Amino acid sequence: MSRIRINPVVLILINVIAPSMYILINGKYLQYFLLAFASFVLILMGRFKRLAGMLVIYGIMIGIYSITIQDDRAKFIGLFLIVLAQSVPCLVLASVLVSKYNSAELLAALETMRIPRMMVVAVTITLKYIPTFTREFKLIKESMRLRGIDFTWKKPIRSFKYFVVPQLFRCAALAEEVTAAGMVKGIDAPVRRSSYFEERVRWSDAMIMAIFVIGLAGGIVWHTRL
Amino acid sequence: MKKLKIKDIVMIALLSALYLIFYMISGTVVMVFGAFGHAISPGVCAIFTGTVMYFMTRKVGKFGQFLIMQAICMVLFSIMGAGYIPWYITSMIGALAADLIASRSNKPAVWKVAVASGVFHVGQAFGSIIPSMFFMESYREEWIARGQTPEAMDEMISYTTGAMGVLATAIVFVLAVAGVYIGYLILRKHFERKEAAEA
Repeated sequence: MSRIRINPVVLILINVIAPSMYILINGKYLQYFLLAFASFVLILMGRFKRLAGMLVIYGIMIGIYSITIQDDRAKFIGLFLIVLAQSVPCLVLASVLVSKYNSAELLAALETMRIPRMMVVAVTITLKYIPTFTREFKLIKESMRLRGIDFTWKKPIRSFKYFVVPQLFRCAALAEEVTAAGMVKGIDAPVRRSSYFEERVRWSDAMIMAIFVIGLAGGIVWHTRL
Repeated sequence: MKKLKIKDIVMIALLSALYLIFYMISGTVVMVFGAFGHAISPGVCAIFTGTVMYFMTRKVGKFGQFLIMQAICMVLFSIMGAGYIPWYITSMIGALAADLIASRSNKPAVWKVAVASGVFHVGQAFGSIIPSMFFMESYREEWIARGQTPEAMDEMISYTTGAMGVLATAIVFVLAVAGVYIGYLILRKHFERKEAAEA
């Protein structure tokens, strides 16, 4: 089965619109619709492992919710998980956005949304560096362990210092590098930026958006009739 | 007031990535403590991110730094599907106020950064406090639709309205101020050394 390439703007729009629909649509309907819709998008993109992961995580969360909600002492865990579970489809689509598209593709796509250039650059950098910093925190922890420095709650500020200071100064060094790379590519030039990855809205994108809108409209009609 | 340059924007974006990692970790941990934990979660996050805030004011120190950081966070939360309009509004107002307090000079006093961080995070906390105080019914209904039970929502509202709402706001503010002072303690030596080298 050939994989469909989806314009990243479509994924961004879906994630922006979906959570604001809880005011208009029955919560259960929206949850199941978003789960089914995210599964459909992941199948189209050929992301089967991610789909399996999403369904397993969602299933576990709902399972724990169903068990804990019956016990007054453990109820808070279930209520926490059910709110988290409704974000799972959107979070999975966001994770696809980070893993599948490179910075240039994201920049090109976000620029079509008429967001100010500086904001587009900033959001793209943040989006790309969250996974990098998460990995680096693990490396810092590992190097602390190798040097015999444990993260201990007995000395929380000192432990936190060992953890955060290298990362902060790495940010300062990275800012120089990323800025230099951006300047070379003309990031601050006051002209419309062209890109090798010029993202256009294809028929497949329009169809996916149409299915999403029809699903939401169905939910609104169902909600108003109830 | 100096204008933000591209290098500053990149720096804020990178620090926002760090901020969001701490936000997600602390937000997830604190939600386990139930409704009150949720109400004060921006404050708990601020204990850890105070260091990031202090670092930003020393490395960037220009008007708009808090506003851009908050805007990046809000855009990313929207992309992750965690958008909530009242939260955006109160957070952005808080960030603007933080800029007015601590971004008008190059190296603001620590107490100013601490107050700015307090206001910044209170703005985030107001995302649940203001709707539950003034738009209680629609706030309750929306979160019930999102999967919360009516009992849990009533408990949440009890922690974000009246005296408890004021207490939650005060706790968030105090924790955010403490976070910046922790950051100051941690980073003081590094900046003193740098200033001595520059002099």
